[in-house]
Amino acid sequence: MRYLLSVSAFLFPNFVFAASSGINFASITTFLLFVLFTLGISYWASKRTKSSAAFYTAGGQISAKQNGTAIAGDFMSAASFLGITGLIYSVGFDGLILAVGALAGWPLMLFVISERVRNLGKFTFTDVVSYRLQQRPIKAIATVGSITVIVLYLVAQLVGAGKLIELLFGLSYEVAVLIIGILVMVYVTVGGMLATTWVQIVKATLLVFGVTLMCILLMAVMNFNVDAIFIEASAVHPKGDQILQPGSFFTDPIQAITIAITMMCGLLGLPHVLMRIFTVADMGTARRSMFYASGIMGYFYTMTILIGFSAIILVSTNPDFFNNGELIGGTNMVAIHLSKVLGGDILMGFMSAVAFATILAVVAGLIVAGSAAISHDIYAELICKRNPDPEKELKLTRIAAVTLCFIGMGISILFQYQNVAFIAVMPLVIAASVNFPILILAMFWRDLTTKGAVAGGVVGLISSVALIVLGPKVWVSIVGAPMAIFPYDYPALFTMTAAFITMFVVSKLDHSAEAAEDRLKFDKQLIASELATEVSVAADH
Amino acid sequence: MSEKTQVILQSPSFKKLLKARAKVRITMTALSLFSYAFFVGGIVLYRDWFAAPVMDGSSIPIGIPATVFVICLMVLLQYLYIKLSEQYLDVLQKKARKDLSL
Repeated sequence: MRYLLSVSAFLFPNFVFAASSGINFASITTFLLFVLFTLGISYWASKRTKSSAAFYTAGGQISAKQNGTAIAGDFMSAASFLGITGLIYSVGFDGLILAVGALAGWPLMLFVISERVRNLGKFTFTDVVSYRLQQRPIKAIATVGSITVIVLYLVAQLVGAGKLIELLFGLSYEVAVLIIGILVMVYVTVGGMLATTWVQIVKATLLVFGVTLMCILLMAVMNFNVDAIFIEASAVHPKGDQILQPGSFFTDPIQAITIAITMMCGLLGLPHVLMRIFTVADMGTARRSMFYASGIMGYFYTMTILIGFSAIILVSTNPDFFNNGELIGGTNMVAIHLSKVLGGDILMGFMSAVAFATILAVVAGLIVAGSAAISHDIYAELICKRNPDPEKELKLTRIAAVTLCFIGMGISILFQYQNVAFIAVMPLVIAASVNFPILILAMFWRDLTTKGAVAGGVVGLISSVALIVLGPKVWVSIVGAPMAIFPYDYPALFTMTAAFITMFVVSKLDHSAEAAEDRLKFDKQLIASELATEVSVAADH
Repeated sequence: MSEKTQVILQSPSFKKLLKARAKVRITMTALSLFSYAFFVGGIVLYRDWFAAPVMDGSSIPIGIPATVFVICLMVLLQYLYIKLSEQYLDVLQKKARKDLSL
């Protein structure tokens, strides 16, 4: 370990080890074990990743339990574990909206989206929306939407990761971002979706184990008395009983509704999540994957409620975690501080390493989805008109993965002083305003035309970016204006509505020959989606 | 529209499958949205009820078990959907495929 630290110090003399005194060797050991294990997985997966299908979707051969665990691993990001517990610690009950919101989209993903997407698509959700609509325009807007969401999600993860690792491991921000970037490049370019899936499975298992252990220990500390947690939490929190009731944070009902809509519908448009539907062989396995994923996440988010409220008692009253009255590392570090209270340096080290592993797994999933959008949607489908040279496509996929990693690392270094919450808002809002309306209407509304879908997608994209910029997180926090022009941080309620209305109006007014053709193809799509007549093509592609 | 497409669309077994799937999907989606709306409603509309203790002498507010209930309900609904799909909808799909020689 010391050798590694010395090498890094030599390579990055200006910014290594911002706080080397804070290095936790338990966390570094756990993290190194995780890295070695996952690199072994990548090597194993590389022997099986010889085609584009293997790279994008692991050849469609992942089982339901594996895929469900990997989906959970992909979605339970560091923001879920650290952010939700931190928010509950700060504001109490209102923090639960993120826990329930993160889960709310999954039933809809299962009931409405997963089966049809699996039956109609091959590698990406863009395949689905272009099934009956004209290839070039719809693929163009869907790919722009996908890549925008992926890059922003990637930057949000990397900025958060850089800050987190700076605190956890004592490494500087740039080194942290570089380590994550290099590791993810290896996972993805060498092992493709198969390696990414197994990294996500390992990470989900570790996270669930860690959270369970923390809950058992904290319940033991509280003598297995749940009531005592809430009594003591309200007694020591500065807001008192207010933390046990809604309204301490979301004072404006519209703000609560729009955040709820953003979280639910944003999930339904996330390209890296939708892509996981294609890693299984058929509709039935896709369905069971969703259920396993939801079960794991439901358990995890329920545990975060206990962890968040317990942290109020065990962390806020412990002076060791405060420096000049400020919580060390801010509220995002609450869960990590709690792990130290419960299990000393060893548990803290383990949970820190799990948090780091979490970021690696999420970033790997994003990179696979982003490289597929470039090499499959743009190169194979648009440029080569569905007849690409397989070797060139696979090579391009790997180049795209490396390029995306570098773009993500570069932007995240530029954005290191920006508000992470602002960056994290954008992908969900854009996914809810661009990808979700196009996907749902393309599958379920016969009258949707290509012009309607493109117009709605453009309106969704422009309005969401504009309203985020005019909202409090940018206009006040970054621009420095005294008051925001648009009052809400999460504008998806408005931008998604605008996208749907535009799609509806433009499609209804579209009487062109192309529109008639789009509508005519709906029946063929309906048959394929309901009877799974073309699903084998998807798996073998 | 091709003749084959028209034959499938007119097929009674395909129509039955579509109707059954739509019914299950709409019911399940409505239940799921209703449970989420119940939770969001607790945060924006009936805050006092969510803040009331579960029982006399307890400090656990109704909102906490309500949240856990919503989470469990969402997972349970998915389990029900899978069971309905496997035991009812998939059977209808197989029958339709067989009737249409697909």
